[in-house]
Amino acid sequence: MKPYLFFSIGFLLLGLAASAQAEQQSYNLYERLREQYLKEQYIEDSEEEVREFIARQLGEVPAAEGGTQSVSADDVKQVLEGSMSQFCSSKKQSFGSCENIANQIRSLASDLGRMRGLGRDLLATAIGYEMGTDGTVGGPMGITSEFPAIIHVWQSGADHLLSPVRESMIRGAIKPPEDALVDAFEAVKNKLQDEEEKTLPLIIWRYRYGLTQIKREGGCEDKKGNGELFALQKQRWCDLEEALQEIVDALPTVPTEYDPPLKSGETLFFPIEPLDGVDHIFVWYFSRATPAGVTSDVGLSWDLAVEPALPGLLAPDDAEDCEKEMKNKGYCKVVKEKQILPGGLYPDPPPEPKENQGVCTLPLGRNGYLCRPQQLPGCTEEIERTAQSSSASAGAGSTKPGPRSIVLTECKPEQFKEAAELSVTGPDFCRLGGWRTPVSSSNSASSVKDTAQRDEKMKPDGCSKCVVDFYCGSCKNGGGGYTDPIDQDGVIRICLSTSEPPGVLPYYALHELIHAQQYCQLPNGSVSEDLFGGAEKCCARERVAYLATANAMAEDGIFDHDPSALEEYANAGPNESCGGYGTNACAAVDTNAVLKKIKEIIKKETKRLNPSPSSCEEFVNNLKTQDARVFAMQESLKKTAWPGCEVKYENTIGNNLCYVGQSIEESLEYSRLIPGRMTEGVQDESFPWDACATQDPKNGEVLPMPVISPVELPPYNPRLLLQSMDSALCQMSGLPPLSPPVLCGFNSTRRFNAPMEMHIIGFVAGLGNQQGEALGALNAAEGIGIGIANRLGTSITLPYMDRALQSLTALMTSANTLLTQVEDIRFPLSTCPRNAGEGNVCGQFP
Amino acid sequence: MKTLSFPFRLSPLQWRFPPAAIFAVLLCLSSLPQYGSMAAPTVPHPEKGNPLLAPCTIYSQLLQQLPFKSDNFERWPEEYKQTVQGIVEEHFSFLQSAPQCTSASLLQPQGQLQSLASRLPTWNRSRGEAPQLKQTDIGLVLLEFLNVYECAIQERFYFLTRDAWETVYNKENESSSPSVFGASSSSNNATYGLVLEEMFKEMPVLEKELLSSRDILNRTLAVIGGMNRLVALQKELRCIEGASLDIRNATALAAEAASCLPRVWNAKDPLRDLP
Repeated sequence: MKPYLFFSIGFLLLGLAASAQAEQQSYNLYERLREQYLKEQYIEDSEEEVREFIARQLGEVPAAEGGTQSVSADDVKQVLEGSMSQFCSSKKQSFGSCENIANQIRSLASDLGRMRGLGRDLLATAIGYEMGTDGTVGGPMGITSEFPAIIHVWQSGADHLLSPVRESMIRGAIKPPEDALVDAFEAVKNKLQDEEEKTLPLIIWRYRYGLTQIKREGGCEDKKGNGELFALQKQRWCDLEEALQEIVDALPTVPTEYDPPLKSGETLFFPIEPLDGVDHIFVWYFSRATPAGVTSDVGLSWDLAVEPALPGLLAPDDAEDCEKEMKNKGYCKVVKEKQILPGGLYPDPPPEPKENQGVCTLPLGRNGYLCRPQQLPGCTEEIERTAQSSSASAGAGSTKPGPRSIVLTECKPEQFKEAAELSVTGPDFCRLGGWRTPVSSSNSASSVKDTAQRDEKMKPDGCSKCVVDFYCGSCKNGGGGYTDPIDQDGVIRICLSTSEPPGVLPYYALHELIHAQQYCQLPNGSVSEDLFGGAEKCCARERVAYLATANAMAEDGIFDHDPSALEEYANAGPNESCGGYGTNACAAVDTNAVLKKIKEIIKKETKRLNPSPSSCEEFVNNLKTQDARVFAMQESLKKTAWPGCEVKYENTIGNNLCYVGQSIEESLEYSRLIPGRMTEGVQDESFPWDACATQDPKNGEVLPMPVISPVELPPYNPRLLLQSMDSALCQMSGLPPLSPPVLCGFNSTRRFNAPMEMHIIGFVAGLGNQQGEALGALNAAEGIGIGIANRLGTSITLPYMDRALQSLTALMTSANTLLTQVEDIRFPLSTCPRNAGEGNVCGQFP
Repeated sequence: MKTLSFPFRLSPLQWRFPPAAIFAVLLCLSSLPQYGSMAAPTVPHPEKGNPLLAPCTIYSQLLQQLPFKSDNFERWPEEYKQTVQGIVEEHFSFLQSAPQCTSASLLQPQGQLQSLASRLPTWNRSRGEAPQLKQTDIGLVLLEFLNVYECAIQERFYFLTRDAWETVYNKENESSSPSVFGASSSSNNATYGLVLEEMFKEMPVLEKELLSSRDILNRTLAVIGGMNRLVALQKELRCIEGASLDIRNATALAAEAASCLPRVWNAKDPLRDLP
């Protein structure tokens, strides 16, 4: 009966593994940005691609002796470095003509520098704000990986099945799984080292969301294109993909080959692999268990990205036909004549990533608010509040979010009636759910093996109050599964329908096992009315079962295309099962419409995701390999603190408390807490000390759990913010808000319209001062813009964080209260006296 | 392409003056009094009553602990770069380090940041009560340091002729006997050439630093500043994670004890039980 604890610490190292790798190398952020800036602004050296672009753009210039002469990249370099005498001597032109060419070079260089600088500035801002929260690993911060780690330490094995939201089941490995990966990493490194410096950022940005997503685009072709964004959107590097694929191929494909085995829906991150010689770039890879087996993915990333994927400048030599690709003759004429990508003609903007693309493919990011609607209790109120807060932009009296609002998230209201489950024998601590790990390959609580037929000889063993007997056939009520009430011997028979697609049987089995757990609490020989009699009982018990089923489906990816289906199914399902108590007895939802949609999703996705089992018989006979959740759920039917019975579970706070709670509960249910004796006379008390026991001060005490308020993401109104900025700009110019706001800009001819100064010097000076006036306003606008943006950003962030942290704080306070109460328990120092006649007996019981 | 904001509003591609023009300007500047900056240390410090407003001169006693002296100009850019880079790298180390969960603040400043801040007037405790420094104040400290650096550069720019003169004088003093650099006219002629050479050497450095330092730091702080809003949360999470592990171990011990509950509760009285 001693519990065996799995000390699975890998998940804790999720963030640390990445950090440990990162600590060994310096980020060199300032040095990298300095070098980048000095080159970008031509203060020290210049970018080769820029020099070549300018040279090709200018092409031929008039020569001093007539005719033309070409401008080379070296000429551009001389101008940008200020070596004018060298440049002019090479062009053999007069100083004025030479300066004219140089001015053209400077003008082009200025535009390019500004554009590239803007891209890098935007990236710096985005990287700073997204670091730690974008779902990637390997950076200096990892908020998104810290949360799952903490949740994992706290949760019991059953919690994730019974929470109304899909959670990330993530853990980290301490070391790579295979030595064979060393060669694969070396191959990736060599491929990257072979690439030009300017190409490297494009590759990293292209493969940042993993190889799997890229491969969905089709077979790999090493082609090049004429669009400025071709490399970022379409280009493939086939040799690199082959090297990355080797990493995926080297990873185990069966969940049980991982240690500990991967649970369905669980993701295992391996330590990131820095690539020696390719600074600040690393390979990430992970494995995820699905019903169809283990899927793995690999990708590239930066420890700290400072170089964006800038639009291409030079036309590739071996690109395909321009007009065929770009469909624009004028554009392609420039491409062919000058071998540059002139800019200004971009392909159709890339489609908005769907909820299962881009960052949503990453295990840590796929549950973020960008990838699914927010699903929390009390959302009806939340929608109203969001509407009100947006009404300023939508117009007075409006109850809907204004058209100018960008709704970052949307609540799906849960309209489930607060049905609470009441058990017969007490709280039934952690009875519902698979927090225990099976201790042997045979999970049955009986010496008789469970087969696909009714096993009439099955009986619970000494460690179980009840035992489940799965059988395949045609089930009662025509459903996919049905649970018979517990019989006189403690056997609960579960029917799995042979007419249902085999892929959905694990979910039916999970659902029915929840009911088996509920029956197990009842005395042997109970009837279904004892469990489901009345709408309240029925709804409460079906709700739990449907919630677990829906969570299991979500973990398996069945609801990936429609994340709200999880809660809809958990609400509509009980309505269907408890239909005998009236229409919508459990939840105010359109049951038929929801179930029709859910059935279509399940039919479509299950076939795709669950190739096994092939039959009901195969499922029942090979339960352990078919679905670890069902296997683990059966284990929870067993008793806990019982002599001779082995218990095994993962070492988490929730599981430990489950063990303690079940042990106490079983003690209350199966044991006497105060020693008794046989009476001497007929009328004597059997247990005289019962009267001496003082009331347990803790008995019946309820810890008020904090209300977990849904976190509100404030509405984001960029258009409104820009209008405010425009108004501020006009005010600085001493003008009322004008439309378009450019009218508030500085009027360069104003001085000419003003009365002429008497002295020409005053007029010229005034004319010269105009520029300073405009620049002053520009500088003020730039300065005030940052300040305004900062305050607006804070006004959005602070309420969000305040509310989010409030819930966390309340939860931690409750945990602290509970632990303090445990600490305050005082055990009596003396055992119960055996002789009632001696001394103050009752006084010895505090 | 950046615009030089002070003292001349020029772009780097536009400040390639003809050498003759520069020479003419330098000649004019050399005729200015050479003692303006030398007088600075003797001037009373009106800013002393306002410790939060740093003076824009390297000759203030408030900034004496900073590495920008009139006689070490060639080391200024490297000193500035190394200081900023060291503090930025230290910040990344701080982000990844285990937090001191029992300390008064999870955001205690790291050594290099504390060291630099204590040399700046705002956080210099020798001048009275100073604001409490946190590691997340890295942006404030670095911007203040940049401000001092830009002031030093601008001051050098204004008094370039005089400072170049002093630099050459000091070098001459170090390399030859004082009598050689005496009052003879031949020595003075030789020094003018060296001063011009020194000025031509320093001018591009001044321009480069003025043009680039602020923008590079702004870009750096754009990265760091965004992360800083989550630093406190991240440190708290680390502490919660540690506390959770402690609680997990405590509950594991409780579970071990709970495995004995059947024996505890079934403590029947052996003497009174029937066989």
